Amino acid sequence: MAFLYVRDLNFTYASAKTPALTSINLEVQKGEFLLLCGPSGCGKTTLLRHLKPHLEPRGEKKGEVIVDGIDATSLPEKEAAAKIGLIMQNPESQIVTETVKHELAFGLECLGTHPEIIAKRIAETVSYFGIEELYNKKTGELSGGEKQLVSIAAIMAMRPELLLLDEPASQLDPIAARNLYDVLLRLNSELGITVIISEHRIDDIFSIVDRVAVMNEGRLVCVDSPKHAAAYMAENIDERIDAMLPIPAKIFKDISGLTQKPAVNSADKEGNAFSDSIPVTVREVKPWFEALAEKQLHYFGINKNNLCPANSQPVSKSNSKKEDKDYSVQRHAAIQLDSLFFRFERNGEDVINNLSLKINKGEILSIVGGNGAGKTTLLRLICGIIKPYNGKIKLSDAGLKITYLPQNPQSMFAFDTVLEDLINTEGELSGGKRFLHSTGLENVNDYKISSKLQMIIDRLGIEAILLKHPFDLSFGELQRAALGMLLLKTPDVLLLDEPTKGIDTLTKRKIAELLKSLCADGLAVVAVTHDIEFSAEYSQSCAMLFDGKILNAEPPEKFFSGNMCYTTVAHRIAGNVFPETVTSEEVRNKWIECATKS
Amino acid sequence: MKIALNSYHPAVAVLPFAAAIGFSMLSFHPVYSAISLFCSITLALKLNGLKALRLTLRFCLPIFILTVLINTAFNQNGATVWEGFIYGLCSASALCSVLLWFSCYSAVIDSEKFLFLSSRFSPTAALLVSMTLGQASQMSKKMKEINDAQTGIYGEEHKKFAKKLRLAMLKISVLLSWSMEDSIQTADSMHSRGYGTGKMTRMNPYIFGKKDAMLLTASVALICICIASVISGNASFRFYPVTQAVQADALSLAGYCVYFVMLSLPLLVEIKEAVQWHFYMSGI
Repeated sequence: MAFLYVRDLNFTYASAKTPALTSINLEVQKGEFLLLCGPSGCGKTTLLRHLKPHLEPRGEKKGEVIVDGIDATSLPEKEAAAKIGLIMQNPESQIVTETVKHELAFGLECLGTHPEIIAKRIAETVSYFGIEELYNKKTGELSGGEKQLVSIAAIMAMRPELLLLDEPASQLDPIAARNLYDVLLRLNSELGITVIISEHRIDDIFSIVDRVAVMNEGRLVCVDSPKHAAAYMAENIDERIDAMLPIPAKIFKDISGLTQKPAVNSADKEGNAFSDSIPVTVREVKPWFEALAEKQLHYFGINKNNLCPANSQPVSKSNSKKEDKDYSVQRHAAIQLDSLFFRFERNGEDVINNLSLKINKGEILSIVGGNGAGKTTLLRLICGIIKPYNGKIKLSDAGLKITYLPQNPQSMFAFDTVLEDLINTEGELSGGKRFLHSTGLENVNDYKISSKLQMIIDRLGIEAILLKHPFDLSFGELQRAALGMLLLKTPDVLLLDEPTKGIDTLTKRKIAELLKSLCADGLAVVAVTHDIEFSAEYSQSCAMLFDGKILNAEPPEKFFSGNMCYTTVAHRIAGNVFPETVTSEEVRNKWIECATKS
Repeated sequence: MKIALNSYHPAVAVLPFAAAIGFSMLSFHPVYSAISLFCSITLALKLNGLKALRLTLRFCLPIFILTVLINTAFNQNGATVWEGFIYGLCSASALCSVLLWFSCYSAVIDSEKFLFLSSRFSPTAALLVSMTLGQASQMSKKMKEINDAQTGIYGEEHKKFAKKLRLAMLKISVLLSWSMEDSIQTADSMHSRGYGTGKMTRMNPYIFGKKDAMLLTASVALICICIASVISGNASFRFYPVTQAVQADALSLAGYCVYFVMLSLPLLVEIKEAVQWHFYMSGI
C-alpha cells in the first residue's frame, strides 16, 4: 500500500472562479523521492499544502488525501506536525527564533518534548548535518543556503516520515541549491525519508529523483521516471512545458530530430527511443553526441581536426583579433570604472580591489561570480549608493541616469496596487507634483494614466496586473512591475541584481527579450547573476568578478568556451565538437550549418 | 577575552549580579557605595577590557561629575554645602556602579541565557522576545535594501524637506507591508511545526554541576549575611542635617568586609579560573 494517496482532489480558492487543482490523483510510495514540477502558477504550492494537514489553503475542496492509511484532515495536530515536515520557499521568513540553537529546538518545544530528549535530538541532528559551526550562531548571520539547511535540520529533529519542500532552492544561488539537493538525497537514501519537492527550475535535481510529476494549469499531466518525463516534455507542444526540458535532453531532442533517424541504441526494442525515454544528464548525452558528430559530420566532410581535442585553440588567431576590434569599436561607453577600490571597514579586506570596467551603451553586460564575490557591492558602487575610496567612475555625460533593480523587488512597493506605485513613482520623478497621499483600492480608477506611463505599461505587458496587490504577484510579474517604475525615469543605464532568481525558464526568456529590446533603444544593461545559462544566452558581453577584480569582459561564446566547469551545460556537451558554442540553440544551428556545408 | 562565568549555569551566574545591582541601588552609605563602585570598575575592566574603560570615561565619569556638582550646588537639605557634596558623591557612585554592573551582567548573561531564565516563568513570553529580537535584525536588513532601492531610483540627495519626509514615509510603508507579508509565512512555519498544539517545553542546554553548586552556596550565604547586616541598620547613614561619622565598630567593619567579598565574588571566580589555567599550563 502506498504511503501517500491523493484521490480525485479538486480545489478552488475561496476568492477565485477557476479551480486551482483539478482531479489530482497521486500515489507516493514510502521512501520515494518525487519531484513536482511545472511553470510558476500551475498549482504546485497548492497541492503541497494539501499534503500538509492543518495548513491547507482556504477554499472549496473535494477528494481526499490519505497519509499512511489515515485521512490527512483527521490526523491529530501533534502527530501531523511531527510526521510531515514542510519547508517553504523563503529562507528568511520561515525562521522563527533568534538563535540557531533555539530554532532547532522550536518544533520539539512546541510538541512538549522533554528537555533532555530535545538536547539529544539536536545533538544528533547537528552532527548528522555537519552544521556544528552554525550551532552557536544567530539566525540573522546565516546565508540563505545555511538558513534552508537549518530549517531542514530543525524539521528532521522532529523525526518526520514525509518531507515536503516548496521550491526550497528558488532563492538560493546554484552552489547552495546543489548542496541542498545533496542533503535531500542523503536523507532520502540513508534514512528512507519520503521526499516530495516542488521546483520550477529543475536542471540540477531532475536526474537524482525517482519520479517526476509534471503539473500544468492545476492538473497532473505526467507522473513518471525522469527519462520518461523528459520525453513527455520534449513532445509537448505547450511552450511552458517544453521550456522546462533540461538542456542535455533538449540537445538530444534537437539533434536527433535533425538527423531524422531515430537516435536509438540498438538495445532499445521499443523502436522509437524518443517517445519513450530521453537521456537527461551530461554524462549520458556527451558520448552519444560526440559519436554521432564524428560519424555524421565527418561523413559530411568535416575536417577531423575540427573535432577539437582538449587544448587546441578554437579559432584561428587573426580571425579572433579582428572580431575583437569590431567589438570595441562598435560600442560607446556609457560608464567607465577606473581602478576602483572599496571596503566596508577601515581595517577590513578590500571587497572591490582595483576594478576597471567599461559599460557600453546598447548591450547587455552580465557579470558572473561566486557567492560573496562582491557583485551587489559593485552594482551599488556604479549606482552611487556607496562611494569607492579610491578610483573613478566616469560617466559619459553628467546627466546620465542610472537605475537599479534590487534582488528583492518587494523593496520597491509601498502601495496597495501596482498602478498606485507606478503613478507615485512618476510623480516623484517629475518633481513631486503628482504624488499620492493615501492608498486605497477604490480610488485607483480616479487616477489618470499619462501617455508615458501607458507606453511603458504596454511595453512590459503589465496591463492585467495593474490593479493587483504587489504581494499577490508572482516573482516574474513583480519584477516586471518594478522594471516599470524604473523605466519611468527613462534611464540610460539599468542595473539588475540577480534578475533570474526565483523565476522559471519561460519567464526568464521573456525578461531577456524585454532587456534586449531595451538595449536596442541604446540602453546599457548590467546584470550581475549566478545564472550562467542566462548570461551565455542573452548577454552580448560577459565578465567575471573574482577577488574584487573584473577578469576580461568578452562576448559569451569566447568567455565560456574553453572553461571546463564554469561554463554552460550545452558547452559541456558539445564543447569538444563545436568549441565556440555555448547555448543549445547555437549547437543546433552549428549542426545544421555543418551538415549543409558539404 | 574568555569569561569564566560564562561556563556557569545561568541561574547561578546571574545571582551575584542581581545581588550587586539590588544592593547598590538600595544602600545609601558612603562605604557601601565606594565598595560597589570599586568592585564594579575592576570587574568591568576584567570582563570587558578597553570597552569598559571607554564606557567609564565617556559615560560614567561625566554622569558622576554632573551628579556631584548638581547636588553640591542645589541640594538644600543639609546644614552646609558639605552634606550636599557627600550625598552627591554617594548617589553618583551608586548610579555609576549600577551602570557598570549592568555592563558586566550583559557580558555574562546574553539574550539567550536571559530567555532561558525568563522562560521558567513564561515560555510564551520568552518565545515572543526571541522572535522580536530575530525580527529586529531582519527588519534592519530589509530597511537597508529598501534604502538602496529608493536611492537606486530617486537618487540620493534630496534637499527639500517635504520630499525627504515623503520618501521616508514611503520607506516605512514598504517596510511594514513587506514585514507583514513575511510574518504570515512565519506564522505558517510555526503552525506547521506544531505551535499551539499544547503546552510548550523549553530546551535546556545548560548543566548544573559541582562548581555551580559551590558558587550558588557561596553567593546565597553572602547575600543572606548582607541582608541581615543591612536589616540590623548597618548600612543606614544619616546625611541630613549634618552627616554622621562613618561607623567603625567591629560589627560594621565586618559588614563592610562581607559586602566587599560578595561584590567581588564574580571577580574572584575569574581570578580563580585564571590561576587554575595558569598552573595547568605551567604544569605541561
